[in-house]
Amino acid sequence: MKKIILGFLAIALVGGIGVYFYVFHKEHKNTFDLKAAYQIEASVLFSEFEQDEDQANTKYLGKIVQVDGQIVTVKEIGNNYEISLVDELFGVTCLVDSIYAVQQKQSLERLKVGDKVSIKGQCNGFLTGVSLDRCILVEK
Amino acid sequence: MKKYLILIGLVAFFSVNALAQDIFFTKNGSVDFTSKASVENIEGKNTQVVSFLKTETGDLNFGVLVKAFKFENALMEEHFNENYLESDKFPKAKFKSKITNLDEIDFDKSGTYTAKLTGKLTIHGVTKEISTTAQLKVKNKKITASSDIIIKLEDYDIDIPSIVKDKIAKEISIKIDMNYELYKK
Repeated sequence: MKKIILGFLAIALVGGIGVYFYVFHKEHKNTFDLKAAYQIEASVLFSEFEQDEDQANTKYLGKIVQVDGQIVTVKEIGNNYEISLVDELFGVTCLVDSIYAVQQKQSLERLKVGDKVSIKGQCNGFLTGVSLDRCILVEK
Repeated sequence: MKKYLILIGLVAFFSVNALAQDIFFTKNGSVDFTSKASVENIEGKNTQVVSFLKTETGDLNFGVLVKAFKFENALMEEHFNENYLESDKFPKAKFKSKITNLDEIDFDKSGTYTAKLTGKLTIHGVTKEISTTAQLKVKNKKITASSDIIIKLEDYDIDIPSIVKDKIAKEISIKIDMNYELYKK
């Protein structure tokens, strides 16, 4: 009988620890591990949003997207890198956030205006242009 | 001859007006909000806010993508998007305002000014008319703006389930920080 009670307590304890980690330490998804739902040219992605924002949101909002395009601006802002493709305002802006920026620092430092890149990140929607964050550089 | 003079006059008039209207913008504006509750403090940060300031008209507009708010706690970020702000349904928050004391601000002169703003704040699909102030610092064709707003979640139909009502404050403090640059087309 004692063994059964101890057994249940052990399960409850393990279960409790599991819940604790889930609630307080659930990790943010790592874009390196995530598969892109779409791979698309930056100019095409921008056009889709510009022409029909609601339809584009239904398709892309909250999804992981891989965009290919030419860099028009690249800026280091704090610990993050902000890369704009096609146009600074009317294009696709990708934020490489700190936890990923650290891993790719050497590649990010070497980026120049005019470089053709492939970037994977989460699509957050459209303001003047399309906005992606949690981005990483897709390196061959 | 008269028509020619009128034409020149019109061109001059519009040219002068075009020069007088300076448009300042940022696409890295910062909006931080904090919920201070008895059990815990929750903070969400957005560093991709787009904002335009038109010095001639005093138009000051902000666009915020809800999914761009980042939280330390991944589960809170999920709840924020899926349950509280419903960001799939309402991906944007907006503030369209006007500086009502424009005559007290000289954008050509370096200095600190207190701007009074009145406008429409839209969160979670609900629009409310609000008034607030912003500190503007003008220096060398760059403007910084900072403002603090407090909003009530219920005003924007944001429902917090009773299970977590002690963890999330009814009133949220929002801190806005913008660094504007002159927009060159």
